[in-house]
Amino acid sequence: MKYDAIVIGAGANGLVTAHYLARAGKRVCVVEQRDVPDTSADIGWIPDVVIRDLGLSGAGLRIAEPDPWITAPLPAGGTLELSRDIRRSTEAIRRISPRDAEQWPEFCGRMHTLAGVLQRLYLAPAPDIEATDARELSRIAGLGLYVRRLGKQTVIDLARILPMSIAELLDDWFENDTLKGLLGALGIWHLKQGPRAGGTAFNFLHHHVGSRLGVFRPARSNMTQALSTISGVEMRRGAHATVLAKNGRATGVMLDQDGETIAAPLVISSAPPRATLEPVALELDPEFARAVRNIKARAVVARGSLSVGSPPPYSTLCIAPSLDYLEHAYDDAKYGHDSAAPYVEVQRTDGRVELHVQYVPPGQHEKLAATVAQVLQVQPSQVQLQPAEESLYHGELTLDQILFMRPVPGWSRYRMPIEGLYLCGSGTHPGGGLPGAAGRNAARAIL
Amino acid sequence: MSLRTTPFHSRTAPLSEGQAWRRWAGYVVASSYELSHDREYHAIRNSAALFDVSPLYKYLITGRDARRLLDHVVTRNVAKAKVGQVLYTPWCDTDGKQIDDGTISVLDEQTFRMTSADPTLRWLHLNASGLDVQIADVSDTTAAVSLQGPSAREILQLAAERDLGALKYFRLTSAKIRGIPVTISRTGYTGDLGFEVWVDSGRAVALWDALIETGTPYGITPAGMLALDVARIEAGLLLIEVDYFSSRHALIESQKSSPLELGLAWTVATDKERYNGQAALDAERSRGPEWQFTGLTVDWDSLEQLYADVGLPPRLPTQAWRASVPIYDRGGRKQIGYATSGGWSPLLKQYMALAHLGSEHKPGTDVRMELTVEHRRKQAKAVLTPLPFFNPERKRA
Repeated sequence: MKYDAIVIGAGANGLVTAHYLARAGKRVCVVEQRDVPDTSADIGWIPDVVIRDLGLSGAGLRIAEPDPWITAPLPAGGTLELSRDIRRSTEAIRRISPRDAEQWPEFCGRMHTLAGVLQRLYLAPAPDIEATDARELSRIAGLGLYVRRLGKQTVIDLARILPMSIAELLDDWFENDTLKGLLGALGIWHLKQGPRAGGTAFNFLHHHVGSRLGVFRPARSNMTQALSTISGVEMRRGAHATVLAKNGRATGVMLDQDGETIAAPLVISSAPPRATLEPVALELDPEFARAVRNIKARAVVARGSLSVGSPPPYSTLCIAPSLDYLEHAYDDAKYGHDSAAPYVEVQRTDGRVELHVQYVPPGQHEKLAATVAQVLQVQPSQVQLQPAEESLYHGELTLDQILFMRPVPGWSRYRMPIEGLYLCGSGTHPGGGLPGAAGRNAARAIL
Repeated sequence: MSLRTTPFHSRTAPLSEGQAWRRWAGYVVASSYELSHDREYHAIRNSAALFDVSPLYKYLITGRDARRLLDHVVTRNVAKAKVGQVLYTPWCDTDGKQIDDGTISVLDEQTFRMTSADPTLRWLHLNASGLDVQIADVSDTTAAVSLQGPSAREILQLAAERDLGALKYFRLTSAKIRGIPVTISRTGYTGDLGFEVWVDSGRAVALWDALIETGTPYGITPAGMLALDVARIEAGLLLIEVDYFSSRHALIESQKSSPLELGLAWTVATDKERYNGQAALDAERSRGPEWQFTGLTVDWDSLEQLYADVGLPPRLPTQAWRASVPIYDRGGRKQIGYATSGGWSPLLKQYMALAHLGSEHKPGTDVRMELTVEHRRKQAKAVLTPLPFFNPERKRA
């Protein structure tokens, strides 16, 4: 069998790229190192255009829209529950802070507008700052015009808020610790930074992209599973692939297990940029190889599951009682330790109860399960965690690693300096937490 | 921060009659020891001149992948180099533009010494990612002298108490001079019979003394950079930052050059594994380089006439010059290139220059070189002359 393209990795982005290519008539082989499809939930907004183009609704795609979207314990007992309905959320907040309740509708509106700007940026390749051709320049001009039409407040908010820390942003709007804690957690989501670090407000908005007005948790779906059921591409599971290149051209991949090689003129990797490019470093400009080696992709999250007898009474439980709590949790990670009191989120999706625990830097984790169990008031044996070795987003979403600087400055167009080699994973623009967005952009760049 | 002195300074300093020193890679070295460099120059061509070349950047590259690293960095085929061989080679960026040039000595299967004009440690490390290789900057711990001239071999044979007749051009051998372990390579920057002697810095002074003592009956003469500059132009050898700019320091694209444009096509291997700049150089080779690096010989009669017109006898540069001088076609109107070095060859009795010209101009072509005669711009006739100007049989014999 001769292939036109090999896609490395059968995650959401890899499969999206593969299916777009297949629909354009290419013979595509997807190589995935896992033996069985990953059944954990895909977290993040799926662009509507991807759902439409690939017919995901017909393939059994389910997007969870829990209501209330978050439940947070209150220090004096009881919980704060925020709903999809802004008025109900406002009433819930009024019980803990009348002042914050007044602010809530406007806050939601302003954030939603800003996330809308990002959303527009994310559905296409990052603006090319070196562009000289008329089409790209007019696209950039169009973006500028679009932002201006949103009004003066949006222009100011964009310039002011993107580089801010989420703590400053929230302190600017709200007084209640519980509210600021649960919102602040989204600002540090998958970052090795605390809520007082610059750029965490951007991260907050990034993960708000695609969400409904007033919902500050990304959607959860079975996207990867749905994609796995679509036909049109050949799957090779249980095989870790290494890119092969010669004389500046990608020639295919080698399967590490038995050394088998699969030849193809196009190789597209949804694996992390560093892992993809390191084996072919000698084919690269040394300065480019250095930039790739230095991509910031520090692991801070352990995902896992919680074994429970009966489904919990909430859809999403957030343990992040205050911004100080998050900052202290980060302090431990800064020195290489698991947070003594971590930020824990429990997510119930499709009958599964999944965990997001942060900060968990690489190292020893003997006490981690016990710590999380204590935070959730369950038995340690109920907690199963898989600490990550590297950022699950293949590169942290810090301001120096986004847009035209993702994965490395000047190479945000999915094409790599080896002919025929492309990236399509969350290490590329627009990054993690947006399953399929990078995959679609990459496929369009290839076709 | 002040300039540093080389390990030979305690010997070279007392020789300096006019305190004519210059900077070289953060060190001070002699421009000339005597008030004029004439005698030092003639020693290169008639007896033996001794240069302190310690300021060269030197790196020791060792390990299983040392050969692979160097082969990847430079344009010559290091993979095929034999132990005991020395390669002169440029190295390029990914666009095939020259970064620097220097030598690689194959000391054993896994040990290489690289010399360069600019600091190269970072570049080597950048290229060594994932390779099993150690890179040590031995610039300070290794001293070097260059012994150049027709008597160089005899002096060195006496000093090392062994026959060096079998040591071929661009080969090296280890030896002992008065018990001091040294590496002797048959290399140099003069285009003459000559050797470079590499020694641990701590033994540098003793080596200098041994060579001076052995060489005095043969007319050994400590020489400085002014004499060397004349010799290297006669030999048609490039000088970085004078005849070309490192692609790293170039401010604009047009300041960069490829080895193919610098007369170094012979150093760009076509039979090797992937290396920096390969794709660009392959493409350039197949379409033909835009520029050539060539010699120019200024026509004596033309020079004489220009000075005669103002009532003067011809004036010749007393030292080699380093400047950019426009070169025009024979009509004198269209600029076709520029010379970057030039000077009078006392040996050849001709005014020579090294120039960058469009690659379409053939040897023997008449051109015009700009010249200032009594404050006024003139043009002297010159002829394209293949390099080197001077290439004695003894260089390789």
